[in-house]
Amino acid sequence: MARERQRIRIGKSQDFATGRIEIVALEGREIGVTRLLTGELRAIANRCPHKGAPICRGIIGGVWDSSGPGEMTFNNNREVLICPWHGFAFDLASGRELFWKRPASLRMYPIEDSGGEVFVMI
Amino acid sequence: MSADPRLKYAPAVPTQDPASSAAEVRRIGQHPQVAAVFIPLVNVLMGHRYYWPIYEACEQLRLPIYLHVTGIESIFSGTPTLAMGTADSYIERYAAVPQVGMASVASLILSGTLEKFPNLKFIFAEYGFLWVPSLFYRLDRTWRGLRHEVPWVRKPPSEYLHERFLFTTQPCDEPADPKELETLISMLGHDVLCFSTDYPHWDNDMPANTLQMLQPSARRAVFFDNAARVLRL
Repeated sequence: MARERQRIRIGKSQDFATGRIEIVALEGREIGVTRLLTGELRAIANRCPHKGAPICRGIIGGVWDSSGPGEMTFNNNREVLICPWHGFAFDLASGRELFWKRPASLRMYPIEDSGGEVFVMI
Repeated sequence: MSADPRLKYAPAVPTQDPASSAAEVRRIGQHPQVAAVFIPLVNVLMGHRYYWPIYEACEQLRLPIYLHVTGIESIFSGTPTLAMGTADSYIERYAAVPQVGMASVASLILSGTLEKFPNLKFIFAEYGFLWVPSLFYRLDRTWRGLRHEVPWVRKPPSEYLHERFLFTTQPCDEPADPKELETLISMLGHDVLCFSTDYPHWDNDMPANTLQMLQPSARRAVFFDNAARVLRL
């Protein structure tokens, strides 16, 4: 029988900003919380699906694009989390790995902002 | 060649002067019996723009690039060098020469040259083929993490393998158990392997004995379909 999720308050809305991840410890798990440019929140297990790295300590940024050999442009429209160990890139909105034919996914937890208080369901 | 129109060949075009090489490709490449262009390499990685005039001419004429071990790697100045110096013996050089194939394949993909010439294909003859799966496992894994260095590489490297490369069967570095070789070839993919003999060299593979363990469909791919797909016939 599936365990019922707990709804745990983790802070106030203003505690979570775009471009950085706050790591909170909940019931023995580390969860990274960040805000997308749209204002939505994301709660991510601090474990890379590749080799178990603490992925929430990685950098949030964009991706490099190219029009041809030797040409590089930085596309900062996407919110991408880069794993600090092997550099695999994950789309923060969907949790899915970018640039791979069989993309892995970050583990995401439901998160909600209720009247300025933020709750994660684990 | 005029004796029988079924004969096809890959004329050798020296690469020391790429503009002249391209002119030579255009001069001879229209001939209906030319199926590919053989370029003996100089000590420049294959993805480098040095070779682009030759690639452009070959792509326009729908001719694949054919590479073959020349026997002078790391022997004369200007030839492709093997890692860490000049081998002391023929056997040592022979064992190490797949390095040139590995470096060439990696360079063609990671430089973006395959994106610049989207219809150009490459046949690597006599460089071996059992190193290819290992190279592509490494390329794919590192591309996932280091793609930011080469954003012009638009898809996992192993996808280029199946679209753009052939490797030939001779010399076949066989394990004692043919089933192990069959497994290794299935890891490579039957679509990137092409029958060859190296006749009349001393180390040639006898056609009747080559890859006898392959199933009929794989055999047809290796002995016919793959070459027919890539060569200009």
